Amino acid sequence: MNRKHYTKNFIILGTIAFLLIIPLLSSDPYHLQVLMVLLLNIILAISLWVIMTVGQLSLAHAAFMAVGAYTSALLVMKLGLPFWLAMPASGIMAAILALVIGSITLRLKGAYFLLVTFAFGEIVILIFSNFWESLFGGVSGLIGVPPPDPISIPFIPQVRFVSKVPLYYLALSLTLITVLTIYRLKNSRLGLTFGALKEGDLLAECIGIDIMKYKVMAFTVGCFFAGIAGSLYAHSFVVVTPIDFSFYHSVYILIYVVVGGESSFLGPILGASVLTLFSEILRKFGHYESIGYGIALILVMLFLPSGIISLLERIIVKVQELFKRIKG
Amino acid sequence: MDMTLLLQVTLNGLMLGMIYIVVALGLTLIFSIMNVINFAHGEMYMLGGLVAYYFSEQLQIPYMLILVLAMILVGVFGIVVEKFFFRPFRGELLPALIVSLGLSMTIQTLTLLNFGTEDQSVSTVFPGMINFLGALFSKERLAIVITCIVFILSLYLLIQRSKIGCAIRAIAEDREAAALQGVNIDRICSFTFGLGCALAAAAGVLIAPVFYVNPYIGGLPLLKAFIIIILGGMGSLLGAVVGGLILGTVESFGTLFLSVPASNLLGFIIIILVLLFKPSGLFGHE
Amino acid sequence: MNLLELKNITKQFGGLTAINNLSFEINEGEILGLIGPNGAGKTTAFNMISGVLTPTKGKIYFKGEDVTKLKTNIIAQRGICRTFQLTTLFKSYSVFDNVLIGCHLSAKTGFWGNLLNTSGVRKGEGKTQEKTEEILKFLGIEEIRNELAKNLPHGYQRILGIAIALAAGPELLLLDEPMTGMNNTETNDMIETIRKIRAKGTTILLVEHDMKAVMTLSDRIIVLNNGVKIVEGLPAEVKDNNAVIEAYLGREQDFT
Repeated sequence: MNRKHYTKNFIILGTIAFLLIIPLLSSDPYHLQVLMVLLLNIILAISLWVIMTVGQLSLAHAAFMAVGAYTSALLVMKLGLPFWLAMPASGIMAAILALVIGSITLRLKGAYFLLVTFAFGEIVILIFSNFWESLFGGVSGLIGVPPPDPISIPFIPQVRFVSKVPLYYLALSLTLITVLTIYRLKNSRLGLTFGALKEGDLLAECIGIDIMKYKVMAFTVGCFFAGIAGSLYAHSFVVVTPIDFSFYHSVYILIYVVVGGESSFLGPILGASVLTLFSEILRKFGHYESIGYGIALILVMLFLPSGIISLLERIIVKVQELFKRIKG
Repeated sequence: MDMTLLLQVTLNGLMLGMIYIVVALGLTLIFSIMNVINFAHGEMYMLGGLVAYYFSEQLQIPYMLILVLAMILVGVFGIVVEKFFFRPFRGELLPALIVSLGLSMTIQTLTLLNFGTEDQSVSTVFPGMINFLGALFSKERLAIVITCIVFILSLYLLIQRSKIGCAIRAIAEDREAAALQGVNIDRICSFTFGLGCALAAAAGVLIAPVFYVNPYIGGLPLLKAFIIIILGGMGSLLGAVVGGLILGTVESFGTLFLSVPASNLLGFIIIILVLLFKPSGLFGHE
Repeated sequence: MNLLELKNITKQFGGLTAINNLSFEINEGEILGLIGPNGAGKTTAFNMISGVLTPTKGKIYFKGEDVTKLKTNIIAQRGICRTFQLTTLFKSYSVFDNVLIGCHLSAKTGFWGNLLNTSGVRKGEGKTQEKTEEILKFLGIEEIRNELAKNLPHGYQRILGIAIALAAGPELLLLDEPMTGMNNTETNDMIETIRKIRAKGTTILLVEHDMKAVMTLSDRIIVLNNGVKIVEGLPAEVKDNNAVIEAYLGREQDFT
């Protein structure tokens, strides 16, 4: 048991260390750009996963990301607020919206909730592309979102976000904070309660759990981080257009979670990483990208219904058996 | 406001509403017995339009025959797809959803590679206009409305009166009980999926001469069909018809009096209002 | 003193009357048996007491307070918990976690406390773990604590169902056919278990088909037929009542 713990910790620390030194290994802005997209996708996938632990499927995740992106960009561009205030504000904005929408719609289950969130996502994009154009910039969106303001940390030179490297470290820090927070939540009493709702909400109600309260809580937490991801996106990639947050983006986030493995904490992280890199590799092949992606989805569902993580778990078990045999 | 303009808008709204209803009926039928939200449904509509283009422009086959051929071709394609890709997940919402997304991407891109991205037009089948109380309405559009009504009524008769329709209703009501009564679930699911796809294809064929054909046309009707079945209640055929009529009317008048985005927004606001008071849609089961 | 009181309860579904003007009381500390042929309205009564259904007419009082229209989770909070006819469990969790989830009402469930893992939350979680241990031991299922609920044999699933309900710390426990699908030994074990639960001071309402078990366990019995209470009395009285035998006509073998 203890041994397994050590191995696990070693792998996690090793991965983090590797992510930390990447800018030293390659200064190619393209590589850093791909990694930043990957980190963003991890934040989105793991935060959608929180919502899925209570048994709800949302197709509005990209829309909440959009709310975060526009909030943050507008606070900085129109009101001149520093990024470091606008970023938490964008998370809070997404969370407040989730609280309102969730309180109304989380009574619905399964396909019904899925389709309502789909409709909500479409409304959000529709509003950003067609209404209050002087504020939201219409279909072409907001252009020239400034990078985060420089920060001064004692003992090291002032950090200015002029190149990809500091932006990469910002994305990495936010990803680690998100993953750690959600990991804490999952291992707390709340994580247990969330899971109970998915397994049987009538039973949960009969032992005194207020199911709406916890469903709304999970939805709000998930959307908070989607808002943060939106803010990070806006200030890292300069341009925010409504089409970036279309329903297809929500679908991709859902795919990361399911293909990675919905039932485990590492599943969404693995899914977001593997699929982001996979689509980056496929990109060279033009139109064949979507075919490859589409076929990969079908194959994973047919042959690995519990996600890629289950394959990894099987391999680990095999390796352990092999070690045992060598020892014995 | 000019009365003839109003009439014209109503008739156009009716035509679009009818097309969306036929697409939505297939979608809701598949959902009601398989619990699958088929995101590849729009692709079936697109394939219908494509078949119409090939057969009418390249081979000059009569349009009625094309309609039948397209329904058979796409229906059989649907049956194959159901057997290999959906049967393993029957009743499981999430994996089936992901598979249908994968299918949608694959079908769309394969078509793209063979067909190109150019808009292709299909020549009109019924040229000319008729004057209806002063409003001009093309014969084409009238034919579409009539054909759609025929489809809706035939589907109603099939579901309510035939043996296979009885089996479909039994599965939609309670799958296990239906299986216990000796209903062959596999065969009925296969048939229903094929039927749903054939309906989408029929809509694609019918509307092809009015609009144009390209590999991306499946997206919009899928979106409208989603809205309709949320509004009408998922799995309810009557709900799909009523929902479609409401949406068609709201959109055509919204476009006339407001703007296209405003009328789209109005459609969504109606959904939210309906769901607030009846979470399962107008005709959905609680 | 009565713990629960149903006053002129009527429940209609559409035009059908499932329960008609039903009144009864449950006294503190007793085991009350609720029996009747299939479709008599036992489960409906059960669902109304636990808040899953709301009565069309009438009132339900718990400890003198009106609980008729309260939601299920609030009723559980007040001290009424139930088990299910079907084995409803948190299937992919272990036995231990199932009971731990059941301790929800006594756990610290604040958002920030849990997120920051404060000492208060840690202490609270320690307490619920202890309580879970106690319940597992009390019901004799501590050996299977790490098994997943879905892998348990039927008899154990039923006991786990009761364990979850007990974890919520009810004053009134509603048991919905706990002996269904059990063999003789298992039934006898279950009878012992229910006695033990009562001995700890929990009042019990028992709906059960197994007549022998109901007759052995119950202090008093209420017989329902077609949504109406036809007899109320001691097990011996009920057993020989003509109306009861008539209601069960063709099913007298149940009384052997």
